[in-house]
Amino acid sequence: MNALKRHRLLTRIWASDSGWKRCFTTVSHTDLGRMFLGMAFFYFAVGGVLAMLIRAQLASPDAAFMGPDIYNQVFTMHGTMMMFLFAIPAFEGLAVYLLPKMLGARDLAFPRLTAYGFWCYTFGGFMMLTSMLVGLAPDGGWFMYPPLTGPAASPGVNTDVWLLGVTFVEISAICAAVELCVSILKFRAPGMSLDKMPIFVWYALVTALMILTAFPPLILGSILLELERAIGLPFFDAALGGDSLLWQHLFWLFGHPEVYIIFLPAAGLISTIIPVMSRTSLLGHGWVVASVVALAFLSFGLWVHHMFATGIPHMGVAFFSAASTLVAVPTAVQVFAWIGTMWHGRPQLQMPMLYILGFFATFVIGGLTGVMLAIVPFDWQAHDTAFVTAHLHYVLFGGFVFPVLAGLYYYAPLVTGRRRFFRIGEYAFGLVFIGFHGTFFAMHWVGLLGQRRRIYTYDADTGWELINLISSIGGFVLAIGLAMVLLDLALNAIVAIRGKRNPWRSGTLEWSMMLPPSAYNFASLPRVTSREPLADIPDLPTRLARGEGYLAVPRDGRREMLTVSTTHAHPESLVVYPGNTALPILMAAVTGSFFLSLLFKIYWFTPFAVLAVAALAWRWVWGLGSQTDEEDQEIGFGETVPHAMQTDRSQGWWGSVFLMVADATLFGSLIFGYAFLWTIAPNWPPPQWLAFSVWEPLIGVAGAAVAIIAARQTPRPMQRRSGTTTGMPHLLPTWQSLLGLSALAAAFIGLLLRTPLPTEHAYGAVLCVISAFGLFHALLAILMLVFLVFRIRRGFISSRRRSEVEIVKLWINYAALIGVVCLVLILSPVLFT
Amino acid sequence: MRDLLRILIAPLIWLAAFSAVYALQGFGCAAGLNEAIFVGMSFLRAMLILAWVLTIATLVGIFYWLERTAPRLPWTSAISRITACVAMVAAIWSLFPVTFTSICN
Repeated sequence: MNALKRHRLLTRIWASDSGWKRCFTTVSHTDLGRMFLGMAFFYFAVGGVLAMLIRAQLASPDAAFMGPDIYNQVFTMHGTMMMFLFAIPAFEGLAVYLLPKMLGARDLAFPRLTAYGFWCYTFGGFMMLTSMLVGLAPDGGWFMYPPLTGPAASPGVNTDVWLLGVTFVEISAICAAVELCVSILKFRAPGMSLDKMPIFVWYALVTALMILTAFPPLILGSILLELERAIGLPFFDAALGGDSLLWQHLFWLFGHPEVYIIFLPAAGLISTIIPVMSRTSLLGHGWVVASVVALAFLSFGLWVHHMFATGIPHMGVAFFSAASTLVAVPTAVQVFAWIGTMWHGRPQLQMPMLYILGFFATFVIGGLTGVMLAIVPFDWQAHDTAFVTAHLHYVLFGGFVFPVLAGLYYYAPLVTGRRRFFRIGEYAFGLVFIGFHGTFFAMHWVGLLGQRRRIYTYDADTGWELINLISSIGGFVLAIGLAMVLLDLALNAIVAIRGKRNPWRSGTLEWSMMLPPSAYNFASLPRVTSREPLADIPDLPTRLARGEGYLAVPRDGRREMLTVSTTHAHPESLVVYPGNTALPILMAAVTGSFFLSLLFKIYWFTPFAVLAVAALAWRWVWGLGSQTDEEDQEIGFGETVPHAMQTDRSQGWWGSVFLMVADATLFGSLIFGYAFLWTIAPNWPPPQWLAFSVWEPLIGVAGAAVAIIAARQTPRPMQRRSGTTTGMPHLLPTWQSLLGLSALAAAFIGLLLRTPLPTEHAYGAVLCVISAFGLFHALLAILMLVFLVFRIRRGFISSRRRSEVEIVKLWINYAALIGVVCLVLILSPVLFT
Repeated sequence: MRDLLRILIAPLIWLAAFSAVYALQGFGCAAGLNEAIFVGMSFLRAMLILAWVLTIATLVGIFYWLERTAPRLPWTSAISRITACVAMVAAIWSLFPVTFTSICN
C-alpha cells in the first residue's frame, strides 16, 4: 500500500463528520483541543473585559461607574472566569491537542470522554455567563467564603450559580485528568519509555495527577455549601456545630495546588520551547522532572498560608510558613535549568522567546513576593490588600499567560500549517509587557499603602488616586496589547502563506506529521528509540507515511491504537476506538439538566435527570466490545498483541483506577471535614448522638465481605491462554455480589433513616452525607453488576473477553471498602463517647 | 508503574506525615494533651517530636531501600533519589517547628 492510498484510507476512517454536524459529533482530540482552546480564550476575553470594568471603576476616587452590587459580581466573575473557565480549560485544550501528537499516538485513551468534558465545560460556562447577563452572577468573591455566602447573608441564587456552575465545569477537569493520566501511561508510541517521554508530557502527567487530588476538596466544599443553602444542613454555621473555617480549609486544599496546576503546564511549555529556540537540549532534564514532582507534592502542604490571619495556633502557622518557603527551591531549580539551557545554547529571539523573556521578568518578581507573603508577620500586614492581588497576577499572568502566548506562537505553525507573515506580534508583546507591569507593579505599591482588595471605591484623600490611575491606564494598554495578539494570531492563521514541516527544527514527534495535522496523526506509529526521535531520524515523517511503523495497515475500517507497558512502553494490546457520536453532548446536556434542576430548585426533576444520566452511561458502554473472541492481532515488526477487551488491565480499568484516586481524595476530604468539625468547631458535642444498633454494621460489613469474596470467584484470566472460548462465565458469583452490595446499601438506608435530624446540628448533617456517600457507591456498583449480567447474557463476555469483569470487580471492591470505612466513621462516636 | 511509584513514594510519605502531624497537633490541643507533662515537656510536644523523628526515620529507610533495590529503568533511580532527598529535607524543615513553637495558641 502506497503512502497516498494509506492516507486516504486512514482519513476516511478517522475523519470527523462533515458540515454542521462536525462540532457536535466529533471525538477527535485535534478538533476538541482546538474547541477547548477557542472556548478558553473566549472566556479570557470576557474576563479581560470584566477586568477593564474593574479598572475603570477604580481609576478615580468616589467613582459612580458601578454600584457595589454590580462591582461585586464583576470582580467575582473576573476571578471565576480566569481561574475556572480560562486557565484550567486552556491547559486541558493544550494537553488534549498536543499530547497524542507528542506521544506518537492517534488519539487520547477515551475520545468520547474528551468530548463529554468539553461539553460540560461549555454548558457550565454558559450557565455562569448567562447569570451575569441577567444580573444574577455570583458576588461573594472567587473563593466564596461563608458565612458571607451562606443562606443568611446571600439568600439569592447568585452563590448557587457559582457552586453548581463550578462543580459542573469541574467534571470537565476530572474527565481530562483521568484521560491524560491513562493516555500518558498507556497510549504512547512503542519504545517511548518513561525516560524518553517529552518533557511537556511529564509536566502534563504531574498536573493531571494534581487535578485528581486537588479538585475533589473543592467539589466536596461546594456540595456541602449547596446542601447548607438548599436544605439547611449546617456545615458552616457555627451556631449549629458547623464552622466557616472548614470552607477555607477545603477551598485552599484545592486553591493552592491550583496555582501550580496552572503554572506547571506553562512551565512545561517553557521547558519545551527554550531548548528548541536555543538549539540545544534541556539542561538537567532529570533534575527538572524531579523538581516538577517535588513542586507538586510541596504545593499540597501550603494551603494554610492563605489562612494565616484566621487565628490558627503558632505551630500550625509555622509548619505552613516553612513549607511555603521551601516551595521556592524546586521552582528555582527549573528557572536555573532554563537559564542554563539558554546559556549553553544559541538562543534565537523569535516571537515565542520574547514571551518567555517576559515570563522570566514577571514570574520571578511574583515568586519573590510569594516568599515575602510566606513570612507570617509580613502576611499579616499585607493580607487582603491589593498587594496580594498584585502578587497573584504576577504569578498567574507571568507564570501562565506569558508562557501560553509563547506556546501559541510556537505551535501556531503546527495548528494552522502556515508561516508567520504579519508582524503585529512584536508590538503587541511590547504593549502587553508594559501594560502588565504598569497595572500590577503599581498595585503592589497601593496595597502597601493600605488599599484593601475588592473595595468598589475609595476616598479622594487616601493618597491612592494617582497610583490607581496609573494602574488603570496600564490595564487598558495591556488589553490593547492582548487584542493585538489575538489579531496577529488570527491574521496569520487565516491569510498567511503555507509553512513547511518542522519550522523550528524540533526533535519531538508532534513535528513529524503533516501540517496541519491529519485526522489520524500518524499513518503508522513510530518505534521510539530516543527522547528526540525526529532529530535522530530526520526522514522519520516519510518513513511513517510509507508505513514503516506499527499499525501501518488499516483494518476493517476500525480506529486502531496500541496500549503499551507503563515503564518500557512495550506493546501490550490493541484498542479499537468508538466512532463519531453525539452521545457526549447529549450526556453533557442531561448532566446540565441535573445541575439546573438544583439551581432552580425543581427538585422533583432531579431524580429523573440522574436516571437519564445513568441510562445514557449504560448506552455509552453498551456500544463497546464484541460478541466474538478475536485472535491476537498483527501490529507490525512481526509482533502480535491481544485485543484490549481480552486483557485484564484494559484502558477502562486504568481509567477507573484514576477516577478512584479522585473519589478517594473527596472521601478523605470528607473525613477531614468530620474530624475538623468534631475537634475544632464550636458547639460540640451535638445534642444527640446516633443510637447504637448492631444491625447496620453487621449487615453492612457482612454484605461488603460477601460482595468481595463473590467477586473473587469469577474465573481467573489464566483460562483465556488456552486459546479456546470456554463460553459464558458463571452468573452465580455475580448474583452473590449483587446480594452483598444490596445488603450494604440497605445498611446505609437504615442509617439514613435513623440519623439525628441533620438540620439541627452539623453532626447529623455529616452522618447524612457519609451515609449517602456509602449508599451512592453501593448503588453504583450494583448498577455495574446489573450491566454485567446483561452483557454476559448477550454474549459480550467470555472467558477471553473479560476486561469488563475486571473493571466491575475493581468497583465492587472499592465500593465495599468505602462502605466499611463509612460504617466505621458513622459508628466511631459510639466507640469514643 | 513500579518505577513511577519509586519516584512518588518518598514525597507521598512526607505529605502523609505532614498532614498527620498537623492533625495530631489539632487533635492533641482539642483533647487537652498539651496540659499533661512528660519528661519535663508537654505530652503533646513529646508526641509531635516522636512523630517528626519517625517521619525522618521512615524517609531514611525509604532512601536506603531505593539505594538497595534496582528500578526497571536505570533513569528512574536518579530521579527517585532526588525526590527522596527533597522529601527528607521537607520533613526536617517543615516539621521542625514541633520543637520550639507554642502548640495550641
